[in-house]
Amino acid sequence: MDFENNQIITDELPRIEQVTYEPLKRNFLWMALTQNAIFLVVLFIIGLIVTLTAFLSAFFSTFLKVLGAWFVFSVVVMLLTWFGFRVKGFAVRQRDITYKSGLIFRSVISVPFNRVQHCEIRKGPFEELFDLAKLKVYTAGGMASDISIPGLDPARAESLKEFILMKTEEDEEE
Amino acid sequence: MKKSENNPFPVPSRQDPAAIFVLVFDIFRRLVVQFLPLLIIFFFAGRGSTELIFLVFAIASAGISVFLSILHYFRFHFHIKKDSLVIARGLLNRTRSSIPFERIQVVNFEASVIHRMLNVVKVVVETAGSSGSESEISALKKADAIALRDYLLAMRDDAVESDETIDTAIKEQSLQQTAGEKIFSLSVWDLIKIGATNNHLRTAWAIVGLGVYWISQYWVYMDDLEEFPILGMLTGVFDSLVASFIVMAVLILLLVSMVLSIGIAVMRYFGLKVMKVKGGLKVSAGLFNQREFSARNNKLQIFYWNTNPLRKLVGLFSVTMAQASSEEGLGSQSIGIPGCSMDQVNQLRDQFFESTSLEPNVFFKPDKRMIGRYFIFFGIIPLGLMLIPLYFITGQWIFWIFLLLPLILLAIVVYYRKLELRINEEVLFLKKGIIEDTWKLIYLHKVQSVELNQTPYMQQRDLVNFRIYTAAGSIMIPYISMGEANRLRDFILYKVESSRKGWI
Repeated sequence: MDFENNQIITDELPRIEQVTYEPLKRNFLWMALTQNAIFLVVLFIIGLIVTLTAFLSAFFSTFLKVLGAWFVFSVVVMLLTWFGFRVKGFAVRQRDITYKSGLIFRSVISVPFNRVQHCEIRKGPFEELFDLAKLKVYTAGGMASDISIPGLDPARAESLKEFILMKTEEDEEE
Repeated sequence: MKKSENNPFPVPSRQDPAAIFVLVFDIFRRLVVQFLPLLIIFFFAGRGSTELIFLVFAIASAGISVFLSILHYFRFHFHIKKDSLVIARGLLNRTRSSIPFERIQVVNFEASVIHRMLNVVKVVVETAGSSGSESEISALKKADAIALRDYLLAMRDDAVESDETIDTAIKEQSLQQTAGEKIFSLSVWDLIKIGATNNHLRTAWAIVGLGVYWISQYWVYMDDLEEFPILGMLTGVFDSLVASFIVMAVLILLLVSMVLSIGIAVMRYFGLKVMKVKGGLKVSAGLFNQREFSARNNKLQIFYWNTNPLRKLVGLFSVTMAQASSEEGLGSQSIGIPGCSMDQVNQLRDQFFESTSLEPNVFFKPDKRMIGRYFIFFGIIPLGLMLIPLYFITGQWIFWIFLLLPLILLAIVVYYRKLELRINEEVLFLKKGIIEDTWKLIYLHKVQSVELNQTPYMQQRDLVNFRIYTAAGSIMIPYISMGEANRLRDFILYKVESSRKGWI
């Protein structure tokens, strides 16, 4: 019986932290800001109308405070979207894909191509408007382990998808 | 010998006529369960006509059941084609599903009391990526069922083998095992021990939960609470002797839970037998409802065994074999063995990790700072938040709930001490627990993806939560250093990407 006891994690393995992450398309920032702005502004206007109709009632000052809090919240959300954009990025290596995100709670998730179940490209109305596409990469590990990369150029998303599927098939043939 | 000549069901065939009886009982049971709440309301609110209603209901549902069953029976056909199993069924909507051999994962038998009285079994064909009910055959003679299963599995293996190259050693070995060699079985005494050493707190909670659920169910049907005599009784008891009632209730609950646990253990696991079959294990058990499960070597994702202090005393461990889900998005499919000795755990483990060295090479432990952070998140913050509702209920600030803090701290320290991840060239091994001890074993090449998470606090201190996903759940080791995490990730990815072994 041959006995081996090598140190198994060596420094010679390819390293992920050395890859450079590709940022998302700039348009994605504008899209995210627009989406948030619409949501926040619409609720703000509804709140404003409610507050104005309650002008003479005893709740007026409470409503004003809520409205003020909502405004502060909106600013925070926009700032988080703005700075959060810089953190998002993805990296494609020969055999896996990695996506990082999260300004406050940082997350980096890597999926090897030979564990990909299928991938798809999604385009919502906003994506159509901003000429973007979202690439979803599914694994058998459930929702939490899937990767979803928003804010890609549609052509780039298509080629990425082709590339991943090619790699997955290659692996099955071997 | 060409296997395709032995096709036991070349032309569309019906099930065994016994299927009608099986279906009658099945449909009848479903009808009764559906209308049970209504019946109980009638019973409590009974005003003379109760018996008539019951009689009409019984005759009507019996009639409907028989009628539907006969229709179902005649509308159900199945046969085996060259490359797939075809099932045609449905009363109004005819559905015809064909299951390609290579998608078949396992073929299970189930037998309820009725099945056994009629000497038939229910055949369930599990596939990757479709829901279960469309590939069930309600009743077949045991011999036919075995012929069907053996044929399907043989064809499946053929189909799979032509796609992949399988190690010849494994093939030879599996051929020898087609007969099914018994590994071990559990006696009634074992089952009583298992039931008695169950986690009774959990069972007691389940009983309380079930009670609340049932009461809330009937609530809907009642417009007048006075018609529900038990409730009045309950409030009466509460008014008089609250304290003694609670003590009594706790004692009774524990007793009931113990009896119930033993009963359930005996009923579910009666005559549990673990068999070694081609490419995996087969587990059969059950008193009234005999069920059979297959654990296939390839499908197994996480092998784990655990024990609680009571079980440890009598030397019992429970084993769970978490398999990749056959139904997409419906969680994992696990096979559990409620209790066995350490030797038997090792025997089972050897089935799946036979030639693999389990000696760990590298250890990972969380950073000590985990204790402090968990203390804040699971101790101080939740208790602080609990103060507010308690204030509204009782009208005073109940600060003495903070006396629970030392207990929580103790739990976290124990958790920290036990938590450990070990890896070697082949496998990942996680040990954890507070009161219970759990060990999880995962083949490195079965990992689906890895994720690194950091809170702002952890970003400043270069610590990460490291999560590893498999097709049957994930495991997490918190608060390891960034450097270690990066090396671990690189290693796991390297292992997965360079692996040529099947993982599902």
